[in-house]
Amino acid sequence: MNQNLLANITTVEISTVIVDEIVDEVFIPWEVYQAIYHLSRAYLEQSAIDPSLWNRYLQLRRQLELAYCLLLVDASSSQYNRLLVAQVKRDLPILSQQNVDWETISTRLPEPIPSSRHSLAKVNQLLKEQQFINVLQQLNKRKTALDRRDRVLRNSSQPDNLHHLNITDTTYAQTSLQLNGKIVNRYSQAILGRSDRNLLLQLHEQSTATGEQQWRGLVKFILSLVAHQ
Amino acid sequence: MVKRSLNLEQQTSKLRTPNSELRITNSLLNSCIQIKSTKISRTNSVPHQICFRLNSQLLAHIAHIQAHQTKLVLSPTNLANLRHYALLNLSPRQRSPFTQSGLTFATEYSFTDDQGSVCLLKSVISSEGKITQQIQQELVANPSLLHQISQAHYWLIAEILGQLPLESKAWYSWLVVSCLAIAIMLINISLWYLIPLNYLPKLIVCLSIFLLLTLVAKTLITKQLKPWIIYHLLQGIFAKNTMGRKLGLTFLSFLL
Repeated sequence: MNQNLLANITTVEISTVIVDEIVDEVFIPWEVYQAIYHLSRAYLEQSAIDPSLWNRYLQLRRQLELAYCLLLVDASSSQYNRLLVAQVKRDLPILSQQNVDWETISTRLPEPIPSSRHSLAKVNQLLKEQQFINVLQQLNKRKTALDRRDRVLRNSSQPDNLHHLNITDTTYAQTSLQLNGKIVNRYSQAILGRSDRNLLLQLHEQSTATGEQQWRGLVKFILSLVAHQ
Repeated sequence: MVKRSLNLEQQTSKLRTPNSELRITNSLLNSCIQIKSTKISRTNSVPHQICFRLNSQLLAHIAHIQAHQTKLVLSPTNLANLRHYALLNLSPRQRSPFTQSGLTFATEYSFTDDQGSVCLLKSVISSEGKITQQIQQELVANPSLLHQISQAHYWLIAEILGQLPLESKAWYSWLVVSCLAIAIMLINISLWYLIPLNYLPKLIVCLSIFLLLTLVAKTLITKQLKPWIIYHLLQGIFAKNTMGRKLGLTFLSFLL
Protein backbone atom coordinates (compact mmCIF):
# COMPACT_ATOMS: atom_id res chain seq x y z
CA MET A 1 0.00 0.00 0.00
CA ASN A 2 2.85 2.38 0.66
CA GLN A 3 5.20 1.19 -2.08
CA ASN A 4 4.10 4.05 -4.36
CA LEU A 5 4.60 6.53 -1.56
CA LEU A 6 8.18 5.42 -0.98
CA ALA A 7 8.90 5.10 -4.71
CA ASN A 8 8.32 8.83 -5.20
CA ILE A 9 10.88 9.88 -2.59
CA THR A 10 14.29 10.81 -3.94
CA THR A 11 15.45 13.12 -1.16
CA VAL A 12 15.34 13.21 2.60
CA GLU A 13 15.34 16.83 3.72
CA ILE A 14 16.15 17.82 7.29
CA SER A 15 15.43 21.37 8.41
CA THR A 16 16.19 23.03 11.74
CA VAL A 17 14.06 25.95 12.79
CA ILE A 18 14.21 28.15 15.87
CA VAL A 19 10.76 29.34 16.77
CA ASP A 20 9.32 31.91 19.10
CA GLU A 21 6.70 29.45 20.30
CA ILE A 22 5.96 25.84 19.40
CA VAL A 23 2.29 25.56 18.59
CA ASP A 24 0.09 22.59 17.86
CA GLU A 25 -0.38 22.47 14.12
CA VAL A 26 -3.70 20.76 13.65
CA PHE A 27 -4.80 20.38 10.05
CA ILE A 28 -8.45 21.33 9.66
CA PRO A 29 -9.14 21.02 5.91
CA TRP A 30 -12.04 23.47 5.80
CA GLU A 31 -10.02 26.20 7.62
CA VAL A 32 -7.06 25.79 5.27
CA TYR A 33 -9.37 25.75 2.24
CA GLN A 34 -11.03 28.94 3.38
CA ALA A 35 -7.70 30.67 4.11
CA ILE A 36 -6.26 29.87 0.67
CA TYR A 37 -9.53 30.43 -1.23
CA HIS A 38 -9.67 34.06 -0.08
CA LEU A 39 -6.10 34.90 -1.15
CA SER A 40 -6.18 37.74 -3.70
CA ARG A 41 -4.23 40.95 -4.33
CA ALA A 42 -6.94 42.95 -2.57
CA TYR A 43 -6.93 40.60 0.43
CA LEU A 44 -3.13 40.66 0.74
CA GLU A 45 -3.10 44.44 0.58
CA GLN A 46 -5.86 44.69 3.16
CA SER A 47 -4.04 42.23 5.48
CA ALA A 48 -0.82 44.30 5.16
CA ILE A 49 1.17 41.27 3.97
CA ASP A 50 4.70 42.19 2.93
CA PRO A 51 4.54 42.92 -0.85
CA SER A 52 7.65 40.81 -1.51
CA LEU A 53 5.57 37.73 -0.56
CA TRP A 54 2.43 38.53 -2.59
CA ASN A 55 3.39 36.45 -5.61
CA ARG A 56 4.23 33.44 -3.45
CA TYR A 57 0.87 33.70 -1.66
CA LEU A 58 -0.96 34.03 -4.97
CA GLN A 59 0.80 30.94 -6.29
CA LEU A 60 -0.90 28.99 -3.49
CA ARG A 61 -4.28 30.23 -4.71
CA ARG A 62 -3.39 29.30 -8.31
CA GLN A 63 -2.37 25.79 -7.25
CA LEU A 64 -5.62 25.33 -5.32
CA GLU A 65 -7.60 26.31 -8.45
CA LEU A 66 -5.43 24.01 -10.58
CA ALA A 67 -5.92 21.05 -8.20
CA TYR A 68 -9.72 21.52 -8.41
CA CYS A 69 -9.73 21.89 -12.18
CA LEU A 70 -7.72 18.68 -12.54
CA LEU A 71 -10.40 16.88 -10.52
CA LEU A 72 -13.16 18.34 -12.72
CA VAL A 73 -11.64 16.70 -15.82
CA ASP A 74 -10.67 13.45 -14.10
CA ALA A 75 -13.30 10.82 -14.97
CA SER A 76 -12.36 8.71 -11.93
CA SER A 77 -13.00 11.58 -9.51
CA SER A 78 -16.29 12.28 -7.73
CA GLN A 79 -15.85 15.93 -8.84
CA TYR A 80 -15.81 15.02 -12.54
CA ASN A 81 -18.09 17.31 -14.54
CA ARG A 82 -18.64 16.31 -18.15
CA LEU A 83 -20.21 19.66 -19.04
CA LEU A 84 -17.17 21.62 -17.91
CA VAL A 85 -14.44 19.43 -19.41
CA ALA A 86 -13.98 21.47 -22.62
CA GLN A 87 -13.84 24.82 -20.80
CA VAL A 88 -11.52 23.55 -18.06
CA LYS A 89 -9.17 21.95 -20.60
CA ARG A 90 -8.94 25.32 -22.33
CA ASP A 91 -7.96 27.02 -19.05
CA LEU A 92 -5.56 24.36 -17.76
CA PRO A 93 -2.48 25.59 -19.74
CA ILE A 94 -3.00 29.09 -18.28
CA LEU A 95 -3.42 27.74 -14.74
CA SER A 96 -0.28 25.64 -15.09
CA GLN A 97 1.90 28.69 -15.67
CA GLN A 98 3.29 30.85 -12.91
CA ASN A 99 2.58 34.19 -14.60
CA VAL A 100 -0.36 36.40 -13.66
CA ASP A 101 -2.67 35.41 -16.55
CA TRP A 102 -4.54 32.88 -14.39
CA GLU A 103 -5.96 35.73 -12.29
CA THR A 104 -8.21 36.68 -15.21
CA ILE A 105 -9.95 33.28 -15.11
CA SER A 106 -13.08 33.29 -12.96
CA THR A 107 -12.89 30.79 -10.15
CA ARG A 108 -14.67 27.43 -10.29
CA LEU A 109 -13.92 26.54 -6.68
CA PRO A 110 -17.00 26.25 -4.44
CA GLU A 111 -17.35 29.03 -1.88
CA PRO A 112 -16.15 27.97 1.61
CA ILE A 113 -18.93 29.97 3.26
CA PRO A 114 -21.69 29.32 0.80
CA SER A 115 -24.96 31.12 0.39
CA SER A 116 -26.94 27.97 -0.32
CA ARG A 117 -27.14 24.46 1.13
CA HIS A 118 -26.26 23.07 -2.29
CA SER A 119 -22.89 24.87 -2.31
CA LEU A 120 -22.16 23.66 1.22
CA ALA A 121 -22.63 20.07 0.03
CA LYS A 122 -20.19 20.80 -2.82
CA VAL A 123 -17.51 21.98 -0.38
CA ASN A 124 -18.04 18.97 1.89
CA GLN A 125 -17.84 16.64 -1.10
CA LEU A 126 -14.63 18.30 -2.30
CA LEU A 127 -13.01 18.02 1.13
CA LYS A 128 -13.62 14.26 1.08
CA GLU A 129 -11.45 13.92 -2.03
CA GLN A 130 -8.13 12.45 -0.82
CA GLN A 131 -6.14 13.81 -3.78
CA PHE A 132 -7.40 17.32 -3.03
CA ILE A 133 -6.68 16.92 0.70
CA ASN A 134 -3.07 15.93 -0.09
CA VAL A 135 -2.63 19.12 -2.16
CA LEU A 136 -4.29 21.14 0.60
CA GLN A 137 -1.84 19.73 3.18
CA GLN A 138 1.14 20.69 1.06
CA LEU A 139 -0.27 24.17 0.43
CA ASN A 140 -0.93 24.56 4.16
CA LYS A 141 2.72 23.80 4.98
CA ARG A 142 3.87 26.40 2.46
CA LYS A 143 1.37 28.94 3.75
CA THR A 144 2.53 28.39 7.35
CA ALA A 145 6.13 29.04 6.23
CA LEU A 146 5.03 32.17 4.33
CA ASP A 147 3.08 33.43 7.36
CA ARG A 148 6.21 32.99 9.50
CA ARG A 149 8.32 34.81 6.90
CA ASP A 150 5.80 37.63 6.83
CA ARG A 151 5.99 37.98 10.64
CA VAL A 152 9.80 38.13 10.45
CA LEU A 153 9.71 40.78 7.70
CA ARG A 154 7.24 42.85 9.65
CA ASN A 155 9.37 42.69 12.82
CA SER A 156 12.62 43.43 10.99
CA SER A 157 11.07 46.57 9.50
CA GLN A 158 10.85 47.98 13.02
CA PRO A 159 13.92 50.15 13.86
CA ASP A 160 14.58 48.36 17.21
CA ASN A 161 15.22 45.08 15.53
CA LEU A 162 17.23 46.32 12.57
CA HIS A 163 20.56 45.42 14.14
CA HIS A 164 19.47 41.93 15.10
CA LEU A 165 20.48 38.96 13.06
CA ASN A 166 17.12 37.42 13.58
CA ILE A 167 16.68 33.79 12.56
CA THR A 168 13.53 33.13 14.55
CA ASP A 169 10.71 31.49 12.60
CA THR A 170 12.81 30.79 9.54
CA THR A 171 14.65 27.62 8.59
CA TYR A 172 18.22 28.56 9.45
CA ALA A 173 19.80 25.32 8.20
CA GLN A 174 18.68 22.59 5.83
CA THR A 175 20.34 19.39 4.66
CA SER A 176 19.16 17.35 1.68
CA LEU A 177 20.31 13.76 1.43
CA GLN A 178 19.67 12.69 -2.15
CA LEU A 179 19.33 9.14 -3.47
CA ASN A 180 22.14 9.74 -5.96
CA GLY A 181 24.51 10.31 -3.03
CA LYS A 182 24.55 14.09 -3.16
CA ILE A 183 24.34 15.93 0.16
CA VAL A 184 23.35 19.59 -0.02
CA ASN A 185 23.59 21.91 2.99
CA ARG A 186 21.89 25.30 2.99
CA TYR A 187 22.39 27.90 5.72
CA SER A 188 20.70 31.20 6.38
CA GLN A 189 23.11 34.09 5.91
CA ALA A 190 21.98 35.55 9.23
CA ILE A 191 23.67 32.84 11.32
CA LEU A 192 27.13 33.72 10.02
CA GLY A 193 27.23 36.94 12.01
CA ARG A 194 25.86 35.47 15.22
CA SER A 195 28.02 34.76 18.25
CA ASP A 196 26.21 31.45 18.88
CA ARG A 197 26.69 30.17 15.32
CA ASN A 198 28.81 27.19 16.47
CA LEU A 199 26.03 26.06 18.78
CA LEU A 200 23.47 26.50 16.00
CA LEU A 201 25.57 24.54 13.52
CA GLN A 202 26.13 21.80 16.10
CA LEU A 203 22.39 21.72 16.73
CA HIS A 204 21.67 21.26 13.03
CA GLU A 205 24.34 18.57 12.79
CA GLN A 206 22.57 16.70 15.61
CA SER A 207 19.19 17.30 13.90
CA THR A 208 20.54 15.82 10.67
CA ALA A 209 22.04 12.74 12.29
CA THR A 210 18.92 12.00 14.33
CA GLY A 211 16.56 13.06 11.52
CA GLU A 212 18.09 10.49 9.20
CA GLN A 213 17.68 7.81 11.90
CA GLN A 214 14.08 8.92 12.50
CA TRP A 215 13.32 8.63 8.79
CA ARG A 216 14.82 5.13 8.74
CA GLY A 217 12.60 4.18 11.71
CA LEU A 218 9.50 5.47 9.95
CA VAL A 219 10.34 3.55 6.77
CA LYS A 220 10.90 0.37 8.81
CA PHE A 221 7.41 0.72 10.27
CA ILE A 222 5.88 1.22 6.81
CA LEU A 223 7.80 -1.77 5.48
CA SER A 224 6.71 -3.94 8.41
CA LEU A 225 3.15 -3.49 7.15
CA VAL A 226 3.83 -4.22 3.48
CA ALA A 227 6.88 -6.49 3.38
CA HIS A 228 4.92 -9.72 3.39
CA GLN A 229 2.11 -8.70 1.06
CA MET B 1 12.22 10.40 63.94
CA VAL B 2 13.49 12.07 60.77
CA LYS B 3 16.85 10.35 61.19
CA ARG B 4 15.08 6.99 61.58
CA SER B 5 13.05 7.48 58.43
CA LEU B 6 16.21 8.51 56.55
CA ASN B 7 17.90 5.31 57.69
CA LEU B 8 14.90 3.31 56.54
CA GLU B 9 15.04 4.99 53.13
CA GLN B 10 18.76 4.21 52.86
CA GLN B 11 18.10 0.60 53.78
CA THR B 12 15.30 0.23 51.23
CA SER B 13 17.41 1.86 48.56
CA LYS B 14 20.14 -0.70 49.35
CA LEU B 15 17.57 -3.46 48.98
CA ARG B 16 16.56 -2.16 45.54
CA THR B 17 18.19 -4.26 42.89
CA PRO B 18 19.36 -2.57 39.68
CA ASN B 19 16.60 -4.46 37.87
CA SER B 20 13.82 -3.12 40.08
CA GLU B 21 15.23 0.40 39.70
CA LEU B 22 15.19 0.00 35.94
CA ARG B 23 11.62 -1.26 36.09
CA ILE B 24 10.57 1.81 38.09
CA THR B 25 12.40 4.15 35.70
CA ASN B 26 10.86 2.35 32.77
CA SER B 27 7.33 2.76 34.11
CA LEU B 28 8.04 6.43 34.93
CA LEU B 29 9.20 7.05 31.36
CA ASN B 30 6.21 5.18 29.97
CA SER B 31 3.90 7.45 31.94
CA CYS B 32 5.54 10.57 30.44
CA ILE B 33 4.63 9.48 26.88
CA GLN B 34 1.22 10.77 25.90
CA ILE B 35 -0.73 11.04 22.68
CA LYS B 36 -2.51 14.34 22.11
CA SER B 37 -5.79 14.20 20.22
CA THR B 38 -8.02 16.69 18.45
CA LYS B 39 -11.78 16.38 18.83
CA ILE B 40 -13.35 16.39 15.38
CA SER B 41 -16.88 15.62 16.47
CA ARG B 42 -18.81 14.95 19.67
CA THR B 43 -17.74 11.31 19.68
CA ASN B 44 -14.59 11.19 17.54
CA SER B 45 -11.09 12.47 18.14
CA VAL B 46 -7.97 12.11 16.01
CA PRO B 47 -4.51 11.69 17.57
CA HIS B 48 -2.22 14.40 16.20
CA GLN B 49 1.04 14.24 18.16
CA ILE B 50 3.10 12.21 20.58
CA CYS B 51 4.07 14.28 23.57
CA PHE B 52 6.87 13.69 26.11
CA ARG B 53 6.16 15.46 29.40
CA LEU B 54 9.54 15.82 31.09
CA ASN B 55 10.99 17.46 34.18
CA SER B 56 14.47 17.59 35.74
CA GLN B 57 14.02 14.22 37.50
CA LEU B 58 12.95 12.44 34.34
CA LEU B 59 15.86 14.02 32.44
CA ALA B 60 18.22 12.57 35.08
CA HIS B 61 16.55 9.14 34.73
CA ILE B 62 16.97 9.25 30.95
CA ALA B 63 20.64 10.26 31.27
CA HIS B 64 21.15 7.35 33.69
CA ILE B 65 19.48 4.86 31.34
CA GLN B 66 21.47 6.17 28.38
CA ALA B 67 24.73 5.91 30.35
CA HIS B 68 23.94 2.25 31.05
CA GLN B 69 22.93 1.69 27.41
CA THR B 70 19.61 0.26 28.53
CA LYS B 71 16.58 0.19 26.27
CA LEU B 72 13.22 1.69 27.08
CA VAL B 73 10.59 -1.04 27.13
CA LEU B 74 7.28 0.42 26.00
CA SER B 75 4.26 -0.79 27.95
CA PRO B 76 1.77 -2.86 25.88
CA THR B 77 -0.80 -0.03 26.23
CA ASN B 78 1.64 2.61 24.98
CA LEU B 79 2.84 0.38 22.17
CA ALA B 80 -0.71 -0.33 20.96
CA ASN B 81 -1.68 3.37 21.06
CA LEU B 82 1.57 4.48 19.39
CA ARG B 83 1.17 1.91 16.63
CA HIS B 84 -2.43 3.00 16.13
CA TYR B 85 -1.29 6.64 15.86
CA ALA B 86 1.43 5.70 13.35
CA LEU B 87 -0.94 3.56 11.31
CA LEU B 88 -3.51 6.34 11.22
CA ASN B 89 -1.00 8.93 10.00
CA LEU B 90 1.08 6.82 7.64
CA SER B 91 -1.44 4.68 5.84
CA PRO B 92 -2.62 6.40 2.63
CA ARG B 93 -5.55 4.00 2.46
CA GLN B 94 -8.69 5.08 4.28
CA ARG B 95 -6.98 8.23 5.54
CA SER B 96 -9.12 10.71 7.33
CA PRO B 97 -8.86 14.31 6.06
CA PHE B 98 -7.75 15.27 9.57
CA THR B 99 -4.70 13.02 9.75
CA GLN B 100 -1.22 14.16 8.80
CA SER B 101 1.13 12.36 6.45
CA GLY B 102 3.76 11.78 9.12
CA LEU B 103 4.54 11.63 12.79
CA THR B 104 4.96 14.50 15.25
CA PHE B 105 6.92 14.23 18.51
CA ALA B 106 6.98 17.14 20.97
CA THR B 107 8.81 17.55 24.27
CA GLU B 108 7.12 19.59 26.97
CA TYR B 109 9.16 20.58 30.02
CA SER B 110 8.08 21.68 33.49
CA PHE B 111 10.68 23.94 35.13
CA THR B 112 8.95 23.61 38.52
CA ASP B 113 6.25 21.31 39.88
CA ASP B 114 3.69 24.07 40.32
CA GLN B 115 4.23 25.65 36.91
CA GLY B 116 2.68 24.44 33.67
CA SER B 117 4.82 22.81 31.03
CA VAL B 118 6.16 24.55 27.94
CA CYS B 119 6.84 22.95 24.59
CA LEU B 120 10.58 23.25 23.85
CA LEU B 121 11.35 20.83 21.05
CA LYS B 122 9.32 19.31 18.24
CA SER B 123 10.19 16.86 15.47
CA VAL B 124 7.90 16.44 12.49
CA ILE B 125 8.78 13.43 10.34
CA SER B 126 6.70 13.36 7.19
CA SER B 127 6.28 10.33 5.00
CA GLU B 128 7.39 12.47 2.01
CA GLY B 129 10.91 12.53 3.47
CA LYS B 130 10.78 15.98 5.05
CA ILE B 131 11.96 16.19 8.65
CA THR B 132 11.68 19.41 10.63
CA GLN B 133 13.19 19.96 14.05
CA GLN B 134 11.67 22.99 15.81
CA ILE B 135 13.53 24.42 18.80
CA GLN B 136 12.00 27.02 21.05
CA GLN B 137 14.26 30.09 21.16
CA GLU B 138 14.53 30.27 24.97
CA LEU B 139 16.04 26.79 24.97
CA VAL B 140 18.85 27.94 22.67
CA ALA B 141 19.78 30.53 25.30
CA ASN B 142 20.33 27.71 27.84
CA PRO B 143 22.91 25.35 26.22
CA SER B 144 23.09 22.95 29.17
CA LEU B 145 19.32 22.35 29.25
CA LEU B 146 19.27 22.30 25.44
CA HIS B 147 21.79 19.46 25.49
CA GLN B 148 19.82 17.45 28.08
CA ILE B 149 16.43 18.03 26.44
CA SER B 150 17.62 17.29 22.92
CA GLN B 151 19.40 14.10 24.06
CA ALA B 152 16.25 12.92 25.88
CA HIS B 153 13.92 13.93 23.02
CA TYR B 154 15.91 12.21 20.28
CA TRP B 155 16.52 9.13 22.45
CA LEU B 156 12.80 8.72 23.22
CA ILE B 157 11.94 9.04 19.51
CA ALA B 158 14.60 6.48 18.58
CA GLU B 159 13.32 4.07 21.23
CA ILE B 160 9.71 4.45 20.05
CA LEU B 161 10.54 4.13 16.35
CA GLY B 162 12.69 1.08 17.14
CA GLN B 163 9.72 -0.73 18.70
CA LEU B 164 7.02 0.53 16.35
CA PRO B 165 7.48 -1.95 13.46
CA LEU B 166 5.12 -4.89 13.70
CA GLU B 167 7.09 -8.02 14.41
CA SER B 168 6.31 -11.13 12.51
CA LYS B 169 5.56 -13.71 15.19
CA ALA B 170 7.17 -16.71 13.51
CA TRP B 171 5.42 -19.31 15.66
CA TYR B 172 2.02 -17.67 15.05
CA SER B 173 2.65 -17.68 11.32
CA TRP B 174 3.75 -21.33 11.43
CA LEU B 175 0.64 -22.14 13.44
CA VAL B 176 -1.56 -20.52 10.77
CA VAL B 177 0.37 -22.28 7.98
CA SER B 178 0.23 -25.66 9.81
CA CYS B 179 -3.53 -25.37 10.44
CA LEU B 180 -4.14 -24.49 6.80
CA ALA B 181 -1.90 -27.32 5.62
CA ILE B 182 -3.73 -29.84 7.85
CA ALA B 183 -7.13 -28.58 6.62
CA ILE B 184 -6.04 -28.82 2.97
CA MET B 185 -4.61 -32.31 3.53
CA LEU B 186 -7.83 -33.48 5.21
CA ILE B 187 -9.86 -32.18 2.26
CA ASN B 188 -7.53 -33.99 -0.14
CA ILE B 189 -7.67 -37.29 1.82
CA SER B 190 -11.48 -37.14 1.85
CA LEU B 191 -11.55 -36.45 -1.88
CA TRP B 192 -9.12 -39.31 -2.52
CA TYR B 193 -11.57 -41.82 -1.08
CA LEU B 194 -14.71 -40.15 -2.44
CA ILE B 195 -13.76 -39.66 -6.11
CA PRO B 196 -14.44 -42.81 -8.11
CA LEU B 197 -11.47 -42.39 -10.48
CA ASN B 198 -8.25 -44.19 -11.32
CA TYR B 199 -4.95 -43.44 -9.56
CA LEU B 200 -3.54 -40.89 -12.04
CA PRO B 201 -6.67 -38.72 -12.55
CA LYS B 202 -7.21 -38.81 -8.76
CA LEU B 203 -3.66 -37.59 -8.21
CA ILE B 204 -4.12 -34.75 -10.74
CA VAL B 205 -7.45 -33.69 -9.22
CA CYS B 206 -6.04 -33.72 -5.67
CA LEU B 207 -2.91 -31.79 -6.69
CA SER B 208 -5.02 -29.18 -8.53
CA ILE B 209 -7.32 -28.80 -5.52
CA PHE B 210 -4.28 -28.54 -3.22
CA LEU B 211 -2.78 -25.73 -5.36
CA LEU B 212 -6.14 -23.99 -5.71
CA LEU B 213 -6.85 -24.04 -1.98
CA THR B 214 -3.32 -22.79 -1.16
CA LEU B 215 -3.78 -19.93 -3.61
CA VAL B 216 -7.24 -19.05 -2.24
CA ALA B 217 -5.98 -19.12 1.37
CA LYS B 218 -2.99 -16.90 0.52
CA THR B 219 -5.16 -14.44 -1.42
CA LEU B 220 -7.73 -14.37 1.38
CA ILE B 221 -5.08 -13.57 3.98
CA THR B 222 -3.09 -10.95 2.06
CA LYS B 223 -5.82 -9.31 -0.03
CA GLN B 224 -8.82 -9.57 2.27
CA LEU B 225 -8.02 -10.35 5.89
CA LYS B 226 -4.95 -8.08 6.31
CA PRO B 227 -6.55 -4.96 4.73
CA TRP B 228 -9.74 -5.73 6.71
CA ILE B 229 -7.79 -5.72 10.00
CA ILE B 230 -5.91 -2.52 9.02
CA TYR B 231 -9.22 -0.85 8.09
CA HIS B 232 -10.76 -1.78 11.45
CA LEU B 233 -7.62 -0.63 13.29
CA LEU B 234 -7.95 2.77 11.60
CA GLN B 235 -11.65 3.41 11.96
CA GLY B 236 -13.53 0.25 12.78
CA ILE B 237 -14.07 -2.17 15.61
CA PHE B 238 -10.40 -2.31 16.68
CA ALA B 239 -9.97 1.50 16.77
CA LYS B 240 -12.34 2.21 19.64
CA ASN B 241 -10.10 1.59 22.65
CA THR B 242 -6.66 0.36 23.67
CA MET B 243 -7.91 -3.19 24.25
CA GLY B 244 -9.31 -3.32 20.71
CA ARG B 245 -6.07 -1.89 19.27
CA LYS B 246 -4.00 -4.51 21.11
CA LEU B 247 -6.26 -7.26 19.76
CA GLY B 248 -6.20 -5.91 16.19
CA LEU B 249 -2.41 -5.50 16.22
CA THR B 250 -1.99 -9.05 17.56
CA PHE B 251 -4.16 -10.39 14.72
CA LEU B 252 -2.13 -8.32 12.25
CA SER B 253 1.21 -9.64 13.54
CA PHE B 254 -0.39 -13.10 13.20
CA LEU B 255 -0.56 -12.60 9.44
CA LEU B 256 2.83 -10.99 8.80
